[in-house]
Order: sequence, then C-alpha cells, then structure tokens
Amino acid sequence: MNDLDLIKVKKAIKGDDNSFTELISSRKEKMYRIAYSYVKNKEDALDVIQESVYKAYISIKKLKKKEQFDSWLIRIVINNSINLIRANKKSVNLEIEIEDSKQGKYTIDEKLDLHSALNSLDNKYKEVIVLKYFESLKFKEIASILDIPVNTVKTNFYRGLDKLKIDLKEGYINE
Amino acid sequence: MNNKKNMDNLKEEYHDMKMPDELDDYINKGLNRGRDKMKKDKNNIFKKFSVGVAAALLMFTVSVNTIPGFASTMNEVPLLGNLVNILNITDSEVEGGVITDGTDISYIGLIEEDDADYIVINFEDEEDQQAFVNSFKVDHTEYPNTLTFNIGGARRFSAMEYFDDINKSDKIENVYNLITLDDSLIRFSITLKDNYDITIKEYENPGHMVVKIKDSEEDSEESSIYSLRSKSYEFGEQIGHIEESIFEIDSRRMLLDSDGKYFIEANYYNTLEEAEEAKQNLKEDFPAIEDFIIEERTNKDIPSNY
Repeated sequence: MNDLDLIKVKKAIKGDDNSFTELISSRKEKMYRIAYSYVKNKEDALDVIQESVYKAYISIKKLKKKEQFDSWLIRIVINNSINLIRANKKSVNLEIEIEDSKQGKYTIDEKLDLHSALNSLDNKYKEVIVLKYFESLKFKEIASILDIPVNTVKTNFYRGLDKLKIDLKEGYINE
Repeated sequence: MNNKKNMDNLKEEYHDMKMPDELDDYINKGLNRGRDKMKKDKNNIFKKFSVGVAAALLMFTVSVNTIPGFASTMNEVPLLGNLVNILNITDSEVEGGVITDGTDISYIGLIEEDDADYIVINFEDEEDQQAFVNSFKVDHTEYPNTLTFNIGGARRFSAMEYFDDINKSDKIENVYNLITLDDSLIRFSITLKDNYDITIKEYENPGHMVVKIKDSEEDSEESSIYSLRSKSYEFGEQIGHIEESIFEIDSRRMLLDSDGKYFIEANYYNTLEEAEEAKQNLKEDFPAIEDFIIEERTNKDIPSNY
C-alpha cells in the first residue's frame, strides 16, 4: 500500500469519513470482482458490496495494523460472499455469467470451458486461484485473508491449477 | 488449445469485468448505513452512560453547590462535563481514558478548597477541546509521595506553562515533566508534601480529569528507606536511555532531585544490606546498575543531588 493510502487508513481508523470513503472508492472494482467470483451474479455481488462497505465502516476502528487494511477488506468481502451463498443456496447460472462478461476476441465456447472448469473447482481451490492469479496477491496475504496456513494456500493453488488442466483436457478429449 | 494462454485470457477477462452502473449506489448505501449505525451507537453510549452515572452526577452537583468558591471557579476552569469514572488511588496505580493520538494536554489548573485541593487537567485535539480524556495511568508511589501521570496518545504539553500555578498548593512540593523516548507518551509527576487521599475523576464532553488531594487520616511513615538510584542528570535523552536500559525492572521510576535534576531509581529497600545485595544481583542483568548509588531517605525527604 502506498504512503498516501496508509495515512488515509490511519485517519479512517480514527473516524475520518472522507478518508474511508476514498479508500473504498479506489477499491470498489476489486471488491466487486472478488464478490462476483464467489456469488457469480451481479445482483448478489452488489448486495455483498453494500454489506461489506457497511461492515467495514462500523468496524474500521478495530483494525489494529493499518498495513493490513487491504487484506482485512478482502476478508470482509469474502466472508459476506460466503454468507450470502449459504443464505440463498442459489445454483450457479452460467448464462448470466456470460452475459455479464465482456464480449471479446474469444468464442463463447472457449470461455465457457474455462469458466465452467474454474467454477466446477472446489471453493478452496478456486478462491486461491482468484486471489493469487487474478488479484496478484502474495501467498502470505492470502493466508492471512483466508486464515489458513501459507503451505495450505500454496498446496491449494498448485492442486487447483493441476485440476484445472486435467478438467480442461478431459473436456477436450470428450469432444 | 494452450491452457496457459487461456488462463491469461481468463485473467484478462476477470480484470475487464464490466462494472455495473449501480456499483456506486450500492457503495453509498453501505456507507450511509454505516454512518447511521455509528450515529445511533454514539447516542446509545450517551443514553446508557447518563443513566449509569446519574447518582454520581447528582453528588457532583451537590458538591458544586455546597463548596464555596467551587461554583465560581467553574467559569474559569471548564469543570462541566459528564463523569465517566471515579478512581481511588489506594496504593499503586489506576487507569482510564480513551485511546487517542496527537492530543495536546492543554491546561492544568489548581482549585484550592477548605477540604481538599483539586487539580484539573484538560485535553485538546486539533480543533477544540477533546470529548474524552486520553488513555492514562496514574502511579502513586512513596519516598517521596509522588503521583506520576502517564498520558498516552499525546504529542504536546502546553499545560507545562501552568506548572507554577500548581506549585502554589500547600499540599504540593513540586510538579515536573519527565522525559520519555516514546513520542506519543507524555509523563509528569507531582510530588506531594505528605500522605493524602487521592481521588481521580474522569469526565467527558469535554474530556478532563480532576485530581482531588485530601488530607489523610493516616500518618506517613517516619522510617527510612534505601534507594538504589542513578546519579542525577539534566532533563534530556541521557536520563531517558538510563531508564530504558532497566526497562524490565517494574519498580523503576524517574524522580526529580532537590537541585532540579533527574535520576532513575531501580527500587528501594528497608535496609542498607538489602539494597546492596539487590545492586549486586541486578547489575548482572543490567550493567547500568553498576554506576547506581544507594541513598537513605524518609518519606518527607526530597532526594539529593549526586
């Protein structure tokens, strides 16, 4: 985190509304992406965002180390995402997902394969891949966010990647 | 199909995820709910608080009305506010206050009454009088009778310029600032002339402390003690470093000598033999103790300059 953000975090812990709002605002896309990777639809992801911002606002004063603001915030988003999934037990709707993702250079088939492969992974593999590979977090940071040992994070990441390759290959073989 | 390449595509896609137009609305909803909640909680604290200390406040009102001169000084010294805590210093230490940062200990004042002397300490944050008292710890030690105030989260000490006013109390020998190498901690000590009953009241809105110094029923001890102490030094980093070097000794304290210089006392003992033995033992772990001396004092003696 840069120095300016650290100052903002310090102020926010002391109750400065503006600093907190700015911190959240500059992280809103990241929060949304993480929430979306869990709940997989726009409406639920937005609900998770609202709840997470609320929870962060009322508990920032308890944040002990200002350097840990980002990990702390991601953890709140993940916890709220998991709570929401548990609460509504919604099944994943792949169509919504494709509709929402940017239409690019790749065919829907290609995307669908990777998406479905990633989504069919156990949550424990998927979350470390999202945080490590997509959000470029360090293994140590992921360990503190998910509250699991660093070695478990590494194991889950590499196993997850392996599984992904296997699943993809199998998919093509079946084709 | 190249899996690695495809993972990169997916990563790119992840980062290109379309942000819904409503994202800001939902962020603001969360922020506003947080603001509402905090406001409500704050009000609740005051509600709960005002019921809880109604009796204490009533007593305070009575004393304001019955002590002559107390009410009149109210105009000069901001004694208004809600009582948070009443702390009786029986033997060693009391704590209270709220964690803050960058506070100025802005004012210290003396109110002399027939039954007791009152010392008022005020706090200011960047803009105004602070709503709460900083987190504090007050140690009460003997030989000489000393109240040491440790005020956390404070960076300025404007109240120092009022020290002379405090010295006017005939119960107070002197008041002095202690150097500390921790720049968010401010410490000062009040040397008392005798044994007194000490009560500390903590107030909020505005935050201030009132220290009541009342004549005690108990006579002070006349016997001597043997203090294991350093030589005297000017106010400065050197004395701070000596204190740090024996930081693990809980009984350590920084005192002012009769010459206005500072020294560190590791502990004091009932007999000279005990003091000498302690010195031998302690210097193995704390080399600074090697240069320490042993001074005999009674409870009413002010330490000498060495």
